[in-house]
Amino acid sequence: MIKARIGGIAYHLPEPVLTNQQLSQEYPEWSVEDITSKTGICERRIAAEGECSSDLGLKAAEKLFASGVCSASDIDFILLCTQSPDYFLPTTACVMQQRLGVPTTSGALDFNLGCSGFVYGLGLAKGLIETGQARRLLLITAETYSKFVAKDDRSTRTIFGDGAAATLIEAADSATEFIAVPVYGTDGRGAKNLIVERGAMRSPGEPVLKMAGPDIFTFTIQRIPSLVKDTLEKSQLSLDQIDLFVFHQANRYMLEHLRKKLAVPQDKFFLFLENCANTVSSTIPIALFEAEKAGKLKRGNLVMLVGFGVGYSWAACVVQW
Amino acid sequence: MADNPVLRSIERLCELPSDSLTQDAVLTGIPGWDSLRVVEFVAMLDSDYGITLDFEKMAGCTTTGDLANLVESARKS
Repeated sequence: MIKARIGGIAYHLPEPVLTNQQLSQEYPEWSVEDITSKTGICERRIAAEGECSSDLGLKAAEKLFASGVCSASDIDFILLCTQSPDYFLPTTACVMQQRLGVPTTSGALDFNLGCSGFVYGLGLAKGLIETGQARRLLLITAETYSKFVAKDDRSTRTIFGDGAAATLIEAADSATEFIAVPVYGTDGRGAKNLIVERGAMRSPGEPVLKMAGPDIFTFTIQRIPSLVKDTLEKSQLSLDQIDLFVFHQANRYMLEHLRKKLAVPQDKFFLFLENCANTVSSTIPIALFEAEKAGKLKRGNLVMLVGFGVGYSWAACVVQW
Repeated sequence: MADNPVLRSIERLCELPSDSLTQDAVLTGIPGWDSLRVVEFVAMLDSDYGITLDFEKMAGCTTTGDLANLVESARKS
């Protein structure tokens, strides 16, 4: 039986750094300590001028290939999740195919999701692989939200960082369900609460990110506990059978509140955003990479992945590592 | 209204002296009442009372008294 499984992850962050000290100098009413303690973020990486999502995604994929898990010629499908594409058209995944040297016999498409994007990508990859449409799929998550962030918006400048991750999802001949069917959800009433209104067809102009932080916080505390419960039920597991929880790394304050509300032990709840901030759809693969590196995630472990945010959109699933 | 827990919570979150806020204090005029404090206030309501407010209604509150009334009606419903 063909089952999809995660074969490897790599990530890349751009070089320019924006520290809490720099932000605190610009916004004196927020101290360095205040920013660090509330967000859990010390610094974020910002793409250079002219450095786009495909540039970050390309470097993440090159690191994945260099790790030896696969080469560009092995890939037969590219899924690219981004909300800050290089162009309106063509599809950034098509540009990536040529830049990476992936065979022209490959499928390639972009999908526009934010913080839920990685889990949606896993679900799509599972569908493509387990129906025989692909065998070695490259899931790239890449964002340069900084290009939408206004210099005087301390909320979004503090939280978001740029980055990309490349994840190999491959076919395995096994009876094990490595990637469980995700639980999905959508509520477009939240669209206005995290939005770049201008710059596309409805409202031409300069694209600027607007975020209603308290509304998004309210959405997460209302929605995520039931999402976790539904995901456990769907996988017929109890909370204590999960070895590690990796949530979208939005900010530490929100994650700590959710962890306590769900009664997840601290040592099973992985956080990784101190030096990269909220990289949108890449936070989960970055955290998975770092959790494995730190010895917190080992082969055979059950890890619950929970993505939520812009849309509103959410998705969660259990992965056997 | 020295016993109003909503006012006392806002004072604590904004690091203001105890009993310094009254029911007619305008929220936007309270020093430190920014988006970060609003998030902390929402978290406090969830932890302490198990309630979440309708955010459009919350945005419609002008004074601390309006907010206290909204919290009270959410607790009763």
